[in-house]
Parts: sequence; C-alpha cells; structure tokens
Amino acid sequence: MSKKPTVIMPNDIIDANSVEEKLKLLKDIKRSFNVFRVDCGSCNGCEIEIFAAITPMWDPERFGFKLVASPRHADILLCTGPLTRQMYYPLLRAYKATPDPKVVVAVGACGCTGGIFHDSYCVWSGIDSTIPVDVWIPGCPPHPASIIYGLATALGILDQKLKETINNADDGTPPFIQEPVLGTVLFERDVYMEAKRLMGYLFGKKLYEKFINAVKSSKDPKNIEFTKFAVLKAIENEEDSRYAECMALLFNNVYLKFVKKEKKVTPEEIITLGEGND
Amino acid sequence: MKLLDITKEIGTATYGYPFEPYEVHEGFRGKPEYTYDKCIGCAACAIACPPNAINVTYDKNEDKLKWEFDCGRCIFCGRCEEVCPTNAIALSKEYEMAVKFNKNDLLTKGYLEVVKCKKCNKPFTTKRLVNYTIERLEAAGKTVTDKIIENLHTCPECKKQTAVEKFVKTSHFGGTK
Amino acid sequence: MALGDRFINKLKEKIKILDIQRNPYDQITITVDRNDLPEAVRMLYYDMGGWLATMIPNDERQINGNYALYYVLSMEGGKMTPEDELPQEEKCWITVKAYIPQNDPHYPSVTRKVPAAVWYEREAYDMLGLIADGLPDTRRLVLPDDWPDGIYPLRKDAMDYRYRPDPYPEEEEPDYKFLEPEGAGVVDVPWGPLHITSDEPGHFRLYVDGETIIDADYRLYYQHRGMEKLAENRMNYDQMGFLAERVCGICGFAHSIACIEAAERAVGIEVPKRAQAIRVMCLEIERLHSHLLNIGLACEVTGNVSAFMHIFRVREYTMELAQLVTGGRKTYGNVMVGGVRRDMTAEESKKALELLDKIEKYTKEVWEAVMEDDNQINRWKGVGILDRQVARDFSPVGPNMRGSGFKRDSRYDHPYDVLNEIEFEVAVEDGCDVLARETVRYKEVMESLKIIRQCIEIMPGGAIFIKPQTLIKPGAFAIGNDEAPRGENIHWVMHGNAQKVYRWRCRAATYNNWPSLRYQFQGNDISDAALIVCSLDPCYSCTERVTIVDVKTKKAKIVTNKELKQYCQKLTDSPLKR
Repeated sequence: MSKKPTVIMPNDIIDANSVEEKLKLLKDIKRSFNVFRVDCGSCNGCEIEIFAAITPMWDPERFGFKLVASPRHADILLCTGPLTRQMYYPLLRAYKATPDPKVVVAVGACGCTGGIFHDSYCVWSGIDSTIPVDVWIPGCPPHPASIIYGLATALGILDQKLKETINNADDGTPPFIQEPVLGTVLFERDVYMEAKRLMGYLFGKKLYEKFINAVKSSKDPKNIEFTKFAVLKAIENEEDSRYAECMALLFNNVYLKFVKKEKKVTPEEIITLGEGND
Repeated sequence: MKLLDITKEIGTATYGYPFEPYEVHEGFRGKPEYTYDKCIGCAACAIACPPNAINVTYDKNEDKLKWEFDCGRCIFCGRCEEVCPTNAIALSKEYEMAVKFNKNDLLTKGYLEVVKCKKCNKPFTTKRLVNYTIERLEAAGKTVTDKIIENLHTCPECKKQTAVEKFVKTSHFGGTK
Repeated sequence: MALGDRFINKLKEKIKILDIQRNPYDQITITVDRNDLPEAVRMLYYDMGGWLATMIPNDERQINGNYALYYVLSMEGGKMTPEDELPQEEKCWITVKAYIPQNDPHYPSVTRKVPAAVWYEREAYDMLGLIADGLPDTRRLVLPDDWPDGIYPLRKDAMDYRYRPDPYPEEEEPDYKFLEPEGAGVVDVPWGPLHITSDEPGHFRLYVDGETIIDADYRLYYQHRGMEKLAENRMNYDQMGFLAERVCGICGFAHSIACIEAAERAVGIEVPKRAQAIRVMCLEIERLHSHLLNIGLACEVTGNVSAFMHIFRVREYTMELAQLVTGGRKTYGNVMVGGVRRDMTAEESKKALELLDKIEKYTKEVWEAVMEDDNQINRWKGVGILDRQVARDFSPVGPNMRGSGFKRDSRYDHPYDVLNEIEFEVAVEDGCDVLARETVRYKEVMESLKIIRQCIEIMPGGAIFIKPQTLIKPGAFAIGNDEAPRGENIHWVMHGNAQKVYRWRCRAATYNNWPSLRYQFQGNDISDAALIVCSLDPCYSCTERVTIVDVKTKKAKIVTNKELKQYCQKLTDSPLKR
C-alpha cells in the first residue's frame, strides 16, 4: 500500500460533515447546487470532459448545476487529478474554505485511487488520501454522460448501479472447450493468433468466429476443395470487405499450411480475391 | 452566413440524458465485465494491467486464490480482454459507474480453489487451471500420462529442484566428490 | 558521404569528436568532451541551421560509470528566410553527447550561448543533480517546493520510486522565488505561489506599468507526477504507451506514439504499413479536436461565447469519429510496440468518410462566420507578437512557430510512418500575432481532413501487427518524434533489460514554448493576457491565477482568471482599478 499523508482534520469540520448532515444537504440542494472545480494535478483529460459536460450538448444547468468561482460559495467540490505533492496544500485550503456540510466528488481514475500513478513518489494516490470523498466517478477520462450520472446519483435523481460483487462458488470445473473442427485444438489456436494479428483483439474475435463457422459449414473440413468452396461462399455473403480479405488470408496462411503439413501448396488451392490484398 | 443563422438552422442540440437513456457508440470501452465461470486464475490480466487495477493474490483466510478488480483504478484500455485466454473478462458499454459513500462498491472479487504442490504442499495454482490444461492437452491430441499429471501438480520451485537434482545425478559432476 | 557528414566535418575543424554512432541512419550521435559542449551545440544551432529539440540527462553509472548528457538538435536550416532551409534529403537529427564523471557532476552551461537550453539544464539539476556552471537561472523547475534537497529522483540509487517524504504542516508551506524585472523597485510580495483560494496548477506574475505588461514570470509543473521514474520501475514496454498517453489529456496519443516509436526505432522494427496508416489517422483525429477546442477558447476568452458553443458542437463530431476508430473519446490506447491494437473494418471506413464530410462542412461554416466578425478579428490582430529573432533563439514549436512565418513541422521536416506518401501543405502565416496562430490552426484542421482521407485510401490490406520476435536490445537508444496539435513531441528511449526501459525522456511540445512566453507578453495590455496564453495553447488550466504587480506604485494585486477573462471579454471594468 502506498504511503498516505497524515491529515489532522479539525473536529468541528468532522462533526459538521457527518453522513446525516450530508444527506440533508443533498436533499436541500437537489434542485440547484453550486459546484467548484479543483484540479489537483490532472492531465486535463478529466477537465476537458467536465468542460464538455457543461456545454449545451449536455446542459447540466437544466437540473440545477451552477459553476462558481470561489469555494466559499460551493456546495459540491469536483476534484480531478491524483493529488500531486504541490497541490496538497491548496486542496486542503480549498476544502477548509468551503462551507460545511459539503460534498466532495472525485472524478476519474486518478481522482478515485491515483489511477495509473497510484504508487509514484510525487503523488498522494487520489483525493481521498487527504480529504473525505463522498462520490467516486471512475473513467479515464469519464464520458460526459458518466459525469452527469455521477452528479445525478449524488443528488438522488438516479440510483447507483454498481454493487460490490463477490463470487465464491468454485468446484474446479474448467471452462468449456469447443469440439476442435479438424480434430486438434492446435488449429483453432493458430487461427486465433493470426486473426488477432490481422485485425486486433476486438475484431479478431469476430473474424475467428466467422472463419471457424465457415470451415465447419464445409462438407468435410479436412478436404481442401470442399472447405475452399465453403469459405468462398462465406466470403461472398460477407458484406464487409475487410473481413472478407482477412478470411481469405486465414485460409491461405493458416488452414492450407495446417492441412498440407510439409507438402507444397498448389496455386489452385489458394484463394485470391478481386482487389485489395497483398 | 452569420452565427445566428447557423443557430436557427441547427435548432436544439442537447441530449435528453439523464432524463432519457443515452446509448454510447458500438465498440465503446466501458466497464470490464467479469465472467467468473470462465476464469482459470492464470493472472495474465493482472500482469498486463497498466494501473494494477486487477490483483491476483493468495488469500490465507479463505485458502483460495483471490481475483480482485478495482473499477476506481481502471483506465479502460482493454489489455485484460486482449490477453485473457478464456474470454473471462471483456469490456462492456457500461458508463454509469459512479458510487456514493461506499468505495467498496467499485470492487469485483472472485475466489478460486487452489492446488497445493505435491512436494512442498504450498499453494501455487488453481484447480481450474490444471483441469483446463489437461483438457486442452487432450484436445490437442496428446496423451495425458500420469507423469504429466504429476508435473502439473508440482510448483515451479520444486520442478526446478527436481531438474537440478536429476542433472547432477546423470552428469559427470554427480559422481566426483 | 553519409547523412550528416557535412555538419560533422565542419564541426571537426574546431572540436575534437571522440565517437560517432548512427542508429537509425538519420539519427547521428557524436560524443565530445564536456568542456566542448557549449561550442559544439552553438555551432550546430546557429551556424549550421539546427534547432534544439530536447536534452536528456541520463544516469549511466551502471553502464560506464558516468552520467551522460545528450543534446538533440534537429537539423533543418535556420528558416529565417525561405532560402535558408536544408534540402529534404539532408535533414537529420544530430545528438551531441558528453560524459560527466560521477565524482565531479559539473559541466559548462550551454544556455549562455544557446538560450533555448535554459529549462533543460534546470531540469537536469532537479532530477539528477548535474550542475551547469554559469546557468543564469538556477531555481527549481520540476520538483515540488516541499521536496527535500539532495534527493535527485532519477538517479538509479537515489530512492525507491514509491518513496514519499512527509508533507510540511500547512502553516509552513514553502515559497517559490519569482524573478523580478531589473531596475524596478518592486515590493517583496508576501503571497506564496498559491493563494488561499487558489486551486489550479500554474501561477503567473505579470509586471505592469499602468496597463502595459513589461515582464512576466511563472511557476509551473504543478502536475509533476513522476512518470519517468515510474516507467523505469513498474512499466514494461507495452504498458509504457498507456502511461505516456496520460501525460496530457489533449494531445496524449501523440505522446504514446512518439514513445513507442522511439522504442521501435532503437532496434529497427518495421511496422506493417496498415498499422502506420492507422497511427497517422489517429494522430490527425487528435489534431482536429484539439485545434477546434483552442479556436473555441480563443473566441470565448474575447467574449464571443456563441462562437465557442458552435465550435464545441462541431467538435462533438470529431469525438464521434474518435470513438468510431478507437473506442474512446480521449484516450485512444491504440498503439503497442510492433503495430496497433485495433483495426478498421470497411464499414468503419465508410462511416468515417461520412463524418469527415460533415466536419469539413460545419467547420468551414463556423470559421467563415467568425471571420466576418470585425470585432473578433480586431481583438486578435497585433496581440501577443512572437518576434522572429526571439523565436530563433528559443526554438518554440507548433502553430506558435508557424504563425511567425517559420515553416517548421515535424511531419514535413522528419516524416514518420506513411507521411512520406501523403500530400499535404504546411500552414504558415506571417502575422506573428494571435490572428496568425488561429488561422494556422484552422488551415491545419482542413489539411488534417485531407490527410485522414488519404490514409483511408492508401491503407493496404494485411496484418496490423508484426510477427512475434525478440524486441529488446539493452543500451540501444533512439528518438521518436511526431507532430502533436501543439507542436513537435520528442521522446527518447534507451532500452534496458528484463522488459523495462532504462531511460525514457518525454519532451512535450509546450515545454519549448513556455520560455519565450514572457517576450510575447511584453508591450501588451493586461486585457490581452488571457488571450495570449490561450493562443499559445498550453494545458488550459495553467493560467487560472495571476498576480499583477504595478512597478510604479509598487502595489501587488491578485486577480482571478474570471476577472481577467471578464475584462478580456468586455474591455470595461478593469480589475486593476478596483
């Protein structure tokens, strides 16, 4: 665990900020609340998204949001950044200057826990290392809709969705393995590796599914001619030309090599598409 | 065209959220969803995660492997999804992730049964991972002998020890003393 | 004659060169004795048309027992006149390297001869304890004010990367010493860099005579998070890209690419062409949203709030484009050593082209409406002039530079990825003022749209990632450069062993732009202070709090950004008169 600063908060501030007082405040300000922004050394990604959340596209003024220039007029402190050493003193001062009771919202991964900088020497790992935080909004940076959701949750307009989840029912059963289409799972492995290399992890999964289904639909997956016909049919039905191109590449570079093993591949066995492949 | 004319043409541009639902783009990188049943406890996600939002440790009290994900530290990069061998974790489109008053609501945990080493009896992997390995080897056409099963139930430290002992016994150096 | 030999031979006439290395072929490193450093850098900078790109102090005691300094110069030609430019085939990077012995960490300061080196040498002292003899400004630059003296974080043996000294009690918070203009009897202002209600990183002091600014000083680096030390200890090469992306929330992806490309160039990895095209495309998408943001802010700061809202509306389309291509609005996370992580399907390319048409139409519409507004143009004209000689001395980058007539653009001088095959124009204006800089940004938005379209067109098929191979060579180093929205980003990576870098030096574009800002302030009114900083396009929250010191009456006053901005917007009710 990274070291946190020892902050001695005066007792009157602690007493004035109990949970009951805060809930009462949130009820009182539900229709109109003042927000003061504190940037504690963020990279400005969260700041820009807060900025975007204030523009007319999202218009939080509809439900009472108002940005103020001084913490003395604020109900809610909106804090970003992992709290660098240099910003430790101004944050404490801004917190003490805000009238009690107050609500503190930590925005972004850095604000919640320090994010990717959580154990660096120049950072205190998040806003809650120094001042008590009431609402945490994860994201890097959070979508403006996430920020609006966070504020709406704080005020009670919307309900919180996330709950701590603990899974504890394991009997040792491993995940299910699909029946290998050519008799050995090494083929699926090679196809998956190459699919990820061709189209990245996100589309590679879809490409893998499309190709394996095409091979499965062949009359005899181990027969090159039947499988070539099946894959060509799938390519024809494929609307997206990039998937089509990559399926042809998978057939030529993975399937053929697998089935032919050491033997040479003849030109009739290869799939060549009209345009766009190298 | 003057700015006012543009404004008249565009009309209202505001989204209805939060009073109406808002749909994010297809492929948006939102909250990672953990499918407990598919997890084998290999910890590839924990090693790949840049901010260490995923932590895989041995929980002494439960005597189980603990997989823990802290949504507050996540940077939504998708590396966990990229390296997971069983698709146990994938990024969803969830963007409504704020929590109020209780920071533990950001945590997701999974406990898995451990396997203890046949030689030193220290826990070193999960039952699911060992069983998954055996099933994959069989699906790859390999005969899983008793020797292989014994190896799978030996921790890396003891495997190293055994290899060194075997080398010393069967090489020149073993006999000269 | 190999690339760069022309310069090296000229150098050899006066200076003894101990070693020459080329890795890759257009990045030449010459080693000289530390006492020859100022003259060598000066000759390359002024006599042979070089610009100071970055300077890397490195702790190489584990490798060869010394510290090392690397002054990286970009050889492009002085560019003060159109003829004074090197031909494309001769442009290269020359690094002047010198060893500093560990028992005598001194070296003669280069700043006396090349003013652009001032911030680099201050940082070298902060982070590694290397003392530049004769450096005019020796104040702390990077580390926080409450950091203990004598601990230099980037030394390999100084401390664990997680070491955190206790903070001071609030009442004893340390102060920062601001520079004061010479000859003026300014009262010593008892406020620290942070006022009781201040909450923003970055504090400025403007020295005024009446309403005219005569000088300025600033304290920055409130966002120092210790990334370079983090990369050396906890991150491997693949995770470094994500760390680099969070250097800045607006031009983060440019940092990510420069960092990863530096690691790739050091060992000569060839990235597939499709991946290169996607990288360039993502960089240009970032440029779109950043420039629109800046133009919007420049309008808002002068009171034109409706233009600001319209520009933000158009900017939402660029956010949509970013989400389409990379899955995220701000942090793309799309690059790793060896390729990109996410491909583009044909469907996405089609949608992207539709979005590009919309963005082009709406941006043109709004810009023309803004340009028809004479009030707006008059607020931008003649303000914040960056003198050409000041620019030549301090090596600023980006639209800041191109607005003063210099054709400096990393995509043009040192093309990376597929830029060799793409046609585009470098936007240059001669005005030297805010209007010129904003016009440059608008033209660049239009050019970026063209570049993205060409990328989609020339993107070949094939893989987006290299085949698995051994990728690390301990001790190999290289420069990675790219053109971020704010200017040239230069990263320098030296490979270490066991999956971690030995040294990563990240030089953001704005780093080179700050030192010349004081000269841009001089002679302008207070009312334009916010506008000048905005046209520089720094991380925008750096200008929230300003102290204005009137040198005649010797009174100091803290003015909030809101007051300054209101004055800037309405031109009435000056905050100084209250």
